[in-house]
Amino acid sequence: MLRLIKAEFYKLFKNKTFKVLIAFIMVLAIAAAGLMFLDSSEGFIGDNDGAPEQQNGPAQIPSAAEEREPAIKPGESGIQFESSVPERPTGKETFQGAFGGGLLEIFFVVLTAALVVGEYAAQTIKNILAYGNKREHYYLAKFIALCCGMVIITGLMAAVPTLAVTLKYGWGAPFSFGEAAWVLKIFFSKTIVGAVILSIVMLIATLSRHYGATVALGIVLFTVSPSFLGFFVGKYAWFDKLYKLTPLYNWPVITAVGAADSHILTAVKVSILSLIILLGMGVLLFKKQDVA
Amino acid sequence: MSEIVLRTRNLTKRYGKEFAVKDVGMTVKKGEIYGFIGKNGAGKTTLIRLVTGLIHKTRGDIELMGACSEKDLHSARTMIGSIVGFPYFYGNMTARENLEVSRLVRNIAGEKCLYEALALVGLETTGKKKVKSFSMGMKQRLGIANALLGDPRFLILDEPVNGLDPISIVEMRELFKKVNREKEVTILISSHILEELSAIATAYGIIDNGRLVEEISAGELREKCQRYIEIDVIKLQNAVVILEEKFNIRDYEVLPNHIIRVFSHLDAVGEINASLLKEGVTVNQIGLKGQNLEDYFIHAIGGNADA
Repeated sequence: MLRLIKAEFYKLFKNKTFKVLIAFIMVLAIAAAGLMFLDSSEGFIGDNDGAPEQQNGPAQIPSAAEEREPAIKPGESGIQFESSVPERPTGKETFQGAFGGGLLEIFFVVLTAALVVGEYAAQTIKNILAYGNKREHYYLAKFIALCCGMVIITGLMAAVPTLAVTLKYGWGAPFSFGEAAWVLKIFFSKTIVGAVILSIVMLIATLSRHYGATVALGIVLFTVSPSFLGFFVGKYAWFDKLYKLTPLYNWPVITAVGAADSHILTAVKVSILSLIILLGMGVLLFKKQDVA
Repeated sequence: MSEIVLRTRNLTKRYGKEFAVKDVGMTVKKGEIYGFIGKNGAGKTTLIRLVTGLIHKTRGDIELMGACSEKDLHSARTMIGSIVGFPYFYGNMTARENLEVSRLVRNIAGEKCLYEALALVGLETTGKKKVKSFSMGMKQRLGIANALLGDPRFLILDEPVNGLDPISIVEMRELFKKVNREKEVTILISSHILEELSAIATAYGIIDNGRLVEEISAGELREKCQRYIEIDVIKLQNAVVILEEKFNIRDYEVLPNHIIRVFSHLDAVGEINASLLKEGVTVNQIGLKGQNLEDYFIHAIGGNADA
């Protein structure tokens, strides 16, 4: 299977769509950093006549003991940077906001469609399956390569504005081992939830074998549907329970204001379980499939 | 290794109510160049897809280099080189990069084989040219290079000369003969171009409407398809003397009922007839008989064919 993973990585880094997505994400990340600086200067002008309302200091991630609901606005898409002191955002706040909602998901959908459906469309999948490679190995190798692509995209989106803001305004707290561990925890958790998104899109791609259908369904599912589903959140208890099992909730909850460690842990646990189920379903489906 | 490289028993593939392949029992022996003949849509590519594991069988068995179970078939398929349908590649990669993907997928050690395979098919000078700008013939050549990568023991080539110019067809034919002869690679070539197959195949399988109509060796086919002059004469001895002395004919046979079959001098029917008559040998009937591969194929599938 290792050779298949190597081949998938080779294809990923040669893939034109991936290169274009990287270029887009770089532009977006630089724009996000610029936005932070713009917001801070506007905030400064706006509050020029007086002191800030509250000297909150850097955002604190609530401890497990503080069991309040994380502040998630279902359906909110794009990148929202929430700074306690608008004229002086911190690197930590930027890092939290950089993942956004409904935006990176579009990149994941397009990448998955390009790499999975692309093999069906170009019929290059035959060159792999006709040589005795087990289908489950191919499916998992493809998934691992996609995860690598996702980590690069997410990493760039998080790192560029965070670094820019940190260099100008500082991290917001002494950058200790604990802070580094927190960054890794958030990024790792986001990666796990992002992998669930990839596995769902991969399942759609394997089922439809159609680029347009995969992209359209993926975008509807992860970018458009949260706006509609947002109307039902808080109205029905059963719906809320169901909603919390989806990446639509778990993706933003990790970086939500007020998210405690327990919320993040639950999101990761739910995502790992979802991942196992979704990959299992995908492998089963792919194994039954005729590749004409 | 088993002497039988590929054997199928009652191999069947059904799509809905339609049988793409039905109860095919096919045998490809080690060292053969097996010409797989059939009209368009006869089931050639479906059978190849079944053998290479791209599609699942409805019923029946596949035995590939002695392997029968699904697990063993996976291992056996690693020793195959194949072109299934038209060869497809990653358009934004070069020929070498495409072969590199194949090399990784097939766990072939060293990059030397990439250059060797490209040189074998005459694509060693394509350099940084992307495959998307290759001509159809170049893609077909790259498909053959891909199939030959890593010294496979069994080559499965589905219409491998489609899109090639006449010179390239001859070159590829010689290449197939060479790998068959020098590396003892068994080859299965599907085609609907009978002339092409007859120049290379040592055995044939004829498929029609998803059923294997006949399997025949090249020798048997040659015998069945041999053209000859059939002469029905009254004075048999005299006729034989004239054929031997005047025309120096040695390749003939005498059948009961005063029938002589002459296997050479096929273009001298009129001359032979005139000589026999001149020497007072009464000729009841004289003419060219036998069938070519095309006639045989049409006869085998029982009617008109657009092969």
